[in-house]
Formats: sequence, C-alpha cells, structure tokens
Amino acid sequence: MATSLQFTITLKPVGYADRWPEFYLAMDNKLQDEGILKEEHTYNFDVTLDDGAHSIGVGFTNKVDTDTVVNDNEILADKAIIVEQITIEGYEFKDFLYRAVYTPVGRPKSHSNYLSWNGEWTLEFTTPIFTWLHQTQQLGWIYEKNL
Amino acid sequence: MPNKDIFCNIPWYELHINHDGSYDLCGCMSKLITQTDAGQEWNIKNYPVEDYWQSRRLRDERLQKMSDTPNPACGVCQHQDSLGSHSKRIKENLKSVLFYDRNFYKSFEQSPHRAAFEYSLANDGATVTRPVSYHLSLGNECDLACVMCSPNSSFKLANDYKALGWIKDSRRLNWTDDQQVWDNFCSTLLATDLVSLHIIGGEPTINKRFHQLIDLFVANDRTDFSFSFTTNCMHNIDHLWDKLARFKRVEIGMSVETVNFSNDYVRYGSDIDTLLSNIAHFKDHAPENVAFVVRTVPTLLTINYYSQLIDWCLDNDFLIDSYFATDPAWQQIRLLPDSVKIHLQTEFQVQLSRYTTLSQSRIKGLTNFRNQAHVIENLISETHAALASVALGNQDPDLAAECVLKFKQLDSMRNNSVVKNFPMLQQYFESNGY
Repeated sequence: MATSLQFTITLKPVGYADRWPEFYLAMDNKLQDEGILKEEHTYNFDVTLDDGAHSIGVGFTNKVDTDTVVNDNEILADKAIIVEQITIEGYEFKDFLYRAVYTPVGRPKSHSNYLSWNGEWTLEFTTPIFTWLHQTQQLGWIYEKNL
Repeated sequence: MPNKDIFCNIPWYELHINHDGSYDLCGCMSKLITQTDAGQEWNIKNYPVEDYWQSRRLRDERLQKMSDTPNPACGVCQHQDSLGSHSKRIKENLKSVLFYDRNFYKSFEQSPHRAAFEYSLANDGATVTRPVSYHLSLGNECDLACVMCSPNSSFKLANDYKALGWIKDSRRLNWTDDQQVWDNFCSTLLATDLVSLHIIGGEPTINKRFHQLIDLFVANDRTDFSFSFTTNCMHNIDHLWDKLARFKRVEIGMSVETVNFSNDYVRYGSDIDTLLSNIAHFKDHAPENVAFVVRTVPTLLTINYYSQLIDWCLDNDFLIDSYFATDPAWQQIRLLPDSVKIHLQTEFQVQLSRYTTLSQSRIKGLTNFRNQAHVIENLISETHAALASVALGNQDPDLAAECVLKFKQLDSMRNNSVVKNFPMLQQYFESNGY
C-alpha cells in the first residue's frame, strides 16, 4: 500500500567568502533538491511511498582540502553542512542524531550530523511511517495484524 | 473514518469480566453492569467467551466505536480526555498504532488493524479478531474499604454501605466460585494466544483463584505474555517472585492515594507505614521483568496531597495510572470551593514549571505513558490533568451537601474524621454541616 509522508529537514551551512557547501537531497536515491547552501534552510517533502524500506540522503559534494583553514592546529574557517533538524509528520525526530549514518568518502562511517567532508548522510526508515515511529520511539507493543 | 474523540480498539481485542462474571466493555465504564439485570444476562455463566465475542452487544459496541456517537457509559475515558490526561482509550489505541493527536486520521489509514475495524463496519459489527487481552476481576473480596471504591469491588465496603443504609444488599460476588465456569474459562485462556492479562480487585493477592491462575500458566508453560495485577500493597508477595519471573513481562499496579497518614483514611484498613515499607520491599526483591505503576483515583480529598504523591513517584521512578473520580459523584474534585482550587492551581503550576525543566528531550506527541523510560512525561501529563481538574466553578450545591453528609455518616460509623486527615478542607466541611 502506498501512503503519503510529510518530512522536513533543516540544513545549516558552514562557509566563508565564496566557499559554501554544495549539497543534494535525495529520497530513495531520487534527487529532490540541490544547490549551494549559504544560509540555514528547511526543506519540505510531501511524498507518497510504497510500504517498505526507504532512505533520505544529504550529499556534500564540493569540499577540497583548501576549504579548511588551519593555523597552529586551530580551524579558522571551514566548509561543512550541519543536519540541524528533522521532522516526520510534524514530530521533531531527535533520534536521527544516532540513527542516521554519515559516510564520508575515504573515511570511516559515523553518526555525526556535522558533514565535514564529501560524502552522504543517510537516514533509513520504513513505511507505514507511524508503525516505524511507534517502534523507534518505544511506544509499547502492537497487536499482531492477523490475530 | 471513525471519530478521533470516540474510536477505541478495545471491542476488537480486549474482554472485561466483572466481579460477578458479567461482561463489560472495559473496566473504565462509568457504571459497570455488575449486579444489574444486564449483568445477569451478559454473564460468563450464560455465554462462553467465544459466543459473547460475536454477540449483539459487542457488535453494537464496535459499530458505535466506528460512529460519531459517543457511548455515555464510557464516561471515565471521556473525563480523562477532557482533562488532557492519558485515558485507557488513548493507551489502548496505541496498540493499533493509532496516535492520539492531530495524526489520528492519518495513523488510522495506516493502522495494521484498519482492515479489521472496517470489516466490522461492513459486517454488522462482527469481527475477524479474537480477544487476546483480558481484564478480569476474580471477585469482590478485599481487606480494605476505600472510601472512593465501589461496593461491588469490596465486600468490606459493601458491608459498610449496607450498615449505613446506602445499599440494600452486600454479598460475595465471586463468579469464580462456580467450578465449572472457572474450569471452562481456564481452558479458554490456555487456548488463547494471550497478549496481556490484567487482574483487578477486590484484592487479587488474597484470592485463591489468583494464585491458581498463576500456577496454571506456569505449569503449562504459557507465560509468554504480559501479566499484570493491581494490589493494595498490604501483603507480602515474596512467594510470587519466582513464578512471576517466568512471564514475558509483569506489571504490578500499586494502589496509593497519598503518601502520608491520610492514605489510611481514604484506603480504610490500610497502614501507610506498612504500605510504603512493602513497596520498597517489592522494588528491592522483584525480578527484572517486573515493572511498577502507581494507580490512583484522585478525589476532592486526595487532590490536596496529589503534588506530594507525584513528587514521590518521581523520586521512586514510578509511572502513574490515574482515574480522576467520576463515581461516586459526591467525591468529584469539581465540588471543591474556588478558594481551595486556587491554592491547588498555584501548587500544580509551580510543579509543572519544575518538571518541565527536567524534560527537554522527549518528542511531543510521541510518548507512551506506560513506558518506564517516560516517567517524567507521564508525571507532567498527570500534573496537567490535576491542574485541569481544579478548574474554577462547576460546583454543585446538592452534591456538595451529599458529600458532607456521607462523610459525616461514614466517619461516625468508623470513628474517624475527614477534617483531621484533610485539615485544609475543615472550613468546607464545617460550613456545609459536618
């Protein structure tokens, strides 16, 4: 069964001068939005998804070594993306801070929401979304479907 | 699409049996059908569970839950909902993934049980589901006579009511005394894929059938479900721990109204020191699968000490499962004078601001008030409900007079004093003829 889903994701840039992060947003690997992020912005999704596994991804694509300015082991300036907030069906979903996975190119995966290097940050979920929210938020047991 | 303020999944999954064997929709009905003509008719002695499950009565109940017409008998949940508290209806609906806020309709569309609900609508209330959750009273034997209890739930209270001329009859009502009915019911339970079984009072721990039931499940290795019961905490239950450890999950509801001397007045026959000592002992000795919840029935008396009780629950990491008194009507909180209500409003508002600072991380709307990890949210919700319960106005002079008269009569018989236990109400009682 296909169900509609309301999703928002708030991204905050870290940048300076003409060095701002280039990003893309994807739902199930399908591009939803892309561009240069110069200020904090909340993106709204209203999508219809079949029951099953899905993912939302944030890509960071234009970082080069010289974007990070370091002096005496102190970072003076940087280019990065911060995944600031996610809401699902109007609920602020704070669990994303440890449920999502950030996979920077050539570096180990982590659960960080600070995207400091090119790569993709991905939050996997399943639909029906309320069942997923029920389970991830430990809202108790659910009677089996075919009792 | 059903009405979010009315829908309740209980008629599809849960069965409630009263002290006398009568079937009720659930334990939260405003008036149970115990000892009524309807209770004689809709009784486990006449209808085995499987027949009752598809009966006209339950079919009508399912159809009503799918309609826009509330059932007046569901007054307890309606009152809880009106206070913004977590009613049984809301908690049970979560087991069908039905959210209680603005997302009710969307969550209903996606509910894994939507097809079952709609099947009933299309088939005159019949259902493809089976009862997997039971809410049982095994009888009305209880060693306490709590002032806000029903005489149907406590034989001892019924005797007091009868002595005062408030009721004509007081009898032992245990349907479980009928051996054949009991044996058939036990067979039904063993043949059921139970999800949960909750035993209410009387006092279960002094009822032999309660112990037989536990032994039956343990002996048959049928313990893969949530077993719960409500107790007055006046009895040692050390002998149960090894057996209870076998169950998937156990929840012990502990009936407490206040955590000071006044609890002995309200829960007549109890002793607060013994009670608190037993609760501490339970916590220390219970196996890991046992959770605790404090069960309260706030009335115009106990609301005066409710913030103290809520603090005690926070200190002990206890959830509260409350039913703000609707019956007896003469103990409803709304009867309090505004002067008392204003004082209580301030007290609960201060408590709310304290608790809110403790709770910054939980997602609003995504709270399971039965989850031990959500204690602070549970207590905040409880404080909100307490605050709503002391809304100004809505007094009823006739009921207030009945309240004072009945406490006067009760105190006279028990050689007790409501104003000594609740001195903040002295003026209220004495100005109304106490």
